[in-house]
Amino acid sequence: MTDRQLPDDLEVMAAGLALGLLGERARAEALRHQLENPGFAERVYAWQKTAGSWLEDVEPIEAPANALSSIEALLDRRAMGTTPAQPIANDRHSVKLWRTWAITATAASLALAVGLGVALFSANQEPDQDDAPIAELARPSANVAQIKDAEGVPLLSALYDPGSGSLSLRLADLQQPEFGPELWVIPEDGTPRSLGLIDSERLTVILSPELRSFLRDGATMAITIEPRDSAPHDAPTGEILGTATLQEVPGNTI
Amino acid sequence: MYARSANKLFAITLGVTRNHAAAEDVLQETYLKIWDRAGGYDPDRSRPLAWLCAIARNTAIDWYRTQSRHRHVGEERLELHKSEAIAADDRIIAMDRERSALAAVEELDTESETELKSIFFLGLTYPEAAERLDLPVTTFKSRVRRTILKIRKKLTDD
Repeated sequence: MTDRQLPDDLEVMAAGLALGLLGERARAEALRHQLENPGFAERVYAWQKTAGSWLEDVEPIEAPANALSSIEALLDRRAMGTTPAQPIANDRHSVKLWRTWAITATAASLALAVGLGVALFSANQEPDQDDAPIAELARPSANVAQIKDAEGVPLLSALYDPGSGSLSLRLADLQQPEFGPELWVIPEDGTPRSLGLIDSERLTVILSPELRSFLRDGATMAITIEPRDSAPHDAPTGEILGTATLQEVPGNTI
Repeated sequence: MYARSANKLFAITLGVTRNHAAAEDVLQETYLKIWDRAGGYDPDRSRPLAWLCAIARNTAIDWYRTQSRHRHVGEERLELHKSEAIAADDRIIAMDRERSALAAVEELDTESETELKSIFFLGLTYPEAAERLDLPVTTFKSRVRRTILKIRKKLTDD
């Protein structure tokens, strides 16, 4: 672990996020801190490394003797095309499949641990403030989402401010010379809309009113790797690296 | 790579699933994921074995959660008279998994650290863990808070 010290409450929150202890609302708040506070993000990473060492320390148990041959047989069958685990190809049919896959995806079934959050209020709606305490009204609403891969490594963290329409992103190193990560939102109509190719580790973009309207509860966000040429694209063509489903969380928790 | 990691990963999958056949299935699925995602491994972010272990843990947890969903949703309507027995089974399974996790984690300094490591191992949130330990969530969170701060101090001192 590093020497950087956080206040105890934030340290516990960082550990809770890294260890998967937090419920939905607390995780949304922790993800917001992770995006806004580099020191906090550093502590989350430190706890992730600590947790990794815990797993490494587990006492081995002899694996079944036939396990390796079974794995090799599965790989052989896949190589022969008898199981449907092929990357998405660049054609319209695959785009349709992609849409179906993305829309029906759930974080749990796809092994994508997801931190979720989306505004109670869209950019075009005013919150009903009659019942809200003054202290809560003073706090701007924000929305967070985190897409992780199957290993639990964060691919992208997003902080969306519906008031200004700004989307702040931080992502893992997914950059390649000719390809880059492209972020998508798939609203209820099932048609992916590109939020653009992400060219740096962290950036903030101002979304158009049309794109803002898609960032609602129930929409799916996804990352693919796409050619840099001609981005943003009309539809995804690359392999899906991860998805997250946006869900509502009460505004006073974020 | 398989020879050097399989026993470790099998211990993890067995510890979470508590079912030998399921653990073997999860182990196979784990290595397929490793095969698919090897190109994305980043040595700057994690050690190789830690990366493999994380995939095994997450795959096993997903298996367990899927099984839990199926048990609760699929059998509830057809076997209402067994609901109490199923609930009891769940509790027993949960207790068994706790004990397994406790036994699987090495070099445990204190009981509280063991508890935290076990909860992480099993992929439990605060409310889930508190329920399994039959504790109020606030009490449990206070306990975990002390443990986390204690671990931080220890690692900082080291």
